[in-house]
Amino acid sequence: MDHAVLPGFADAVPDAQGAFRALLEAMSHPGRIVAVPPALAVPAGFDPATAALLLTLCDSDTPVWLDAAAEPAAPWLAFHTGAPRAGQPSAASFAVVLSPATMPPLDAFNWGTDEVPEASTTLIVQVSRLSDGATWRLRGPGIKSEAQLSVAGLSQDWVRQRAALPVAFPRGVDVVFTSGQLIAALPRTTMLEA
Amino acid sequence: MNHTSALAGEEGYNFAFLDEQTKRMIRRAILKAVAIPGHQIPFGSREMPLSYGWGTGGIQLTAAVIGRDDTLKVIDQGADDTTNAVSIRGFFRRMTGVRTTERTDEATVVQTRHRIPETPLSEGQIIVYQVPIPEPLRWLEPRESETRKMHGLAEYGAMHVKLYEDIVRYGRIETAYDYPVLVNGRYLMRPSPIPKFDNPKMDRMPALQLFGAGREKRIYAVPPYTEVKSLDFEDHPFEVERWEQSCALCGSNDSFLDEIVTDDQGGHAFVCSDTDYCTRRRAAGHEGEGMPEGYLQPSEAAEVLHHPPSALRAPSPSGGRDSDLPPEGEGGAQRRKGDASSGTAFRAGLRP
Repeated sequence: MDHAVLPGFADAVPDAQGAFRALLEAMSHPGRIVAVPPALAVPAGFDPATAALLLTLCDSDTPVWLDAAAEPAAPWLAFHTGAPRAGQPSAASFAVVLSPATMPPLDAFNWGTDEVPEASTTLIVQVSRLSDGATWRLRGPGIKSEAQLSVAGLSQDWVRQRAALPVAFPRGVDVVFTSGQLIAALPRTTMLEA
Repeated sequence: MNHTSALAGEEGYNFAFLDEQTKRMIRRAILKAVAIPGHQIPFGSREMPLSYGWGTGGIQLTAAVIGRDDTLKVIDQGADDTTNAVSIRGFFRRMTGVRTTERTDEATVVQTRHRIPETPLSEGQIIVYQVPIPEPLRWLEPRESETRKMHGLAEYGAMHVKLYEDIVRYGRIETAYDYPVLVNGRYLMRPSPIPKFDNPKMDRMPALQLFGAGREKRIYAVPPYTEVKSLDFEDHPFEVERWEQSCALCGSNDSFLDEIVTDDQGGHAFVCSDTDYCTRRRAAGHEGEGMPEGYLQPSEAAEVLHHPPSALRAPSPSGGRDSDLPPEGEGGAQRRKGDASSGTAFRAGLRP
């Protein structure tokens, strides 16, 4: 099926606003699992939340890096958002990962600089399952005392890299996990204990 | 993505005034701001139908987050019915059709100029601050290139020296509003010109705090439950101001009070700056000592509206509090506009 002919949001303004507020809630409360409301037709391999976040956040100002599994959706993304493709993960404002087990190491992405930490890449990582099980214990801004999150399909090595990330603050990457209609975020401030 | 929906907003305008591309840009900045608490994110501030200095940063933030299910409250110096608050609330009612409220606990989004409501904010609420000057180091170091470096290196010694010099000169830290804070132990941040009385409310606040400076083109944020520490010294700990007086209308002795000049004979009274808090306390039966004799009573207000205002003398501004802002800055412009002067006095008179 030609991705470019798939419709985007049914009602662009409220759908983008609703998806943004879901993401804002997830970012403000790291580890909290939030549903992204708008239903939409998605490219093959994409979950609705992954597609909704891209339509909400991307435009011609944001180079997007797609992993090999997300690659076929490139025409869909270009048609709906006009976002340029980033050749390297380090050049991306947003990175879309559909195969979390084989994703590039965290330091392949842009961490920003101490003076301009906001230049960093935001990772959108689609996983098979998100739950509030006790796999990870999370602490940091946005979390009252401690939060728990369980994310399927990530390598042990990735978890180790992420656990070491807060040392680099304010540099770092922010990660949004998506699964079906659900999302959960790990901003760079969140301290993760596996 | 090409069609837009007017929802219940004004015909011919996009929902919440801003175009979708601008909202996306602001939304991306907000997300980074939340991820890096206290760090100022530059953004492409747009021309708004209000001039800079009247809350354009806050308006753009509110426009980027608000949806049709939200309930909006707007306050200016704590009051729901001063010029700035009324016009911004009217703007959003017209541009979005969302519900507006004066009750702090009913609002999902609270846009504020220079106060944090007395009623504690709860999880799920968003408070949007209007910020005149976002850079806490600006009066110490005018060069943006340098202040950026200072933030990058967390080099905040200059601010400690400034506070120390206050202690040497006056015996205490003189800053009474826009008191510098350290967010999550890392970024020095201006809390916007709220009185330092409000600073403790920012610490581990359950609500999300967003800050927007339209003219200076900066967005920053404090996520919920994040440590916000007012700078101080071990032997000169941070303290908030206290009053001997209590509110003349509701009798509260723990809320932030405005001084109202009531006549040209030196008469004055203190009333809550937070009108919602004061109104609800009075509704619950709390009573203060009352306004001084001769002050415009609520029953007379309607008459004065029709026969303006020989009976209503313009009180003088509260004076002094905003004195280190540049005269062309937001603080200056807005101080002339309202503050504790005629707007507040009139409000106190109009309220039952």
